[in-house]
Amino acid sequence: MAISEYVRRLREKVGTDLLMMPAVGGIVINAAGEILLQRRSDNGLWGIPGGAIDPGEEPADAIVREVWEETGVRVIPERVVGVYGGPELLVRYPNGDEAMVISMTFLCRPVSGEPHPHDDESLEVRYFSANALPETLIARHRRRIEDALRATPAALFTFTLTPDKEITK
Amino acid sequence: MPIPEYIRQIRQKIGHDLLYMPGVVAVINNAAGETLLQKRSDNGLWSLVGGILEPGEEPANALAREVWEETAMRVHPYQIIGVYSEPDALVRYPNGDEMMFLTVVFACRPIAGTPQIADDESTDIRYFRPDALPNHIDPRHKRYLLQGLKLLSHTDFVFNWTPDSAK
Repeated sequence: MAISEYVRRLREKVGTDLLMMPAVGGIVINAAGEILLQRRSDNGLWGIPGGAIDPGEEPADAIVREVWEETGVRVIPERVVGVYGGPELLVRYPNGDEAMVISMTFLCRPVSGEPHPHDDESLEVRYFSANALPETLIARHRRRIEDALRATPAALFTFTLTPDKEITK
Repeated sequence: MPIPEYIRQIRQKIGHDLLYMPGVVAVINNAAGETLLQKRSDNGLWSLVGGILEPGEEPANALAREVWEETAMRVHPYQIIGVYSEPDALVRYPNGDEMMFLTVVFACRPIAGTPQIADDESTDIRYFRPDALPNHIDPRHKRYLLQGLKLLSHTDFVFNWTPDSAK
């Protein structure tokens, strides 16, 4: 994913300050049950395709676009695996930019296109069997793949505030 | 809900420019099948309760916090009804600030407290039967509410884009 015009303009004004970043990730599973991964050019690790949602873009449209841009594969989003946030997604990038990512992860079915690095964000793109995922797969993405394979129909999420815990601002 | 501190800080640098923010909205249904709506003080429309995430916050926790702040009720979010952007819904505030939202809509059940106006964002708050919704209701929130009443087993989303849509 190239950085969007929206984020580029904001960054010109806020520098590396924290930005809230609605984003999508895609678990693309083919008919053989294999999972599409890309090896990222920024850190050399394997991960699921995905990226930031443009303002006003439907999340499901964003994942179709991101998978296409990064891997050359056309997909249909089938269900929302989970909506993820929390402290783990409060991130600082190598260039110092800070972001709070809120990720919607979609299970997708490929409909056409041979996987290949389609932009400069990935070094390799290929399918992996679910029981032979690469060692250097980003841990968070491995957990999302596990979530997708659990096949619960509605989106997963984390809720930890209970009446027993004080809700604070 | 006051303006979160980090938004206030960003606004100092970007002025009124567009911010695209993650938001949460609650479809709270009571045992009688009625849905909670609040009448917003800024535009007079009946709306679902919701708000904006804080950095580091899980969306469902943000939702429970917002509901608590605005209604003094505790709720349990139990399913994500849908995830939506709102391409036609650029919000321009009276001061000129522009915002768009990525909205995660949760189905919630009330677990404690009776709804009351707990901050200055609303002028009225009550449950409505689905066949007797008020006229002045936020149209997007009405869609979320009706989607919530269907409560499909899966989470709803919208998609139209194909690579052929790209220029």
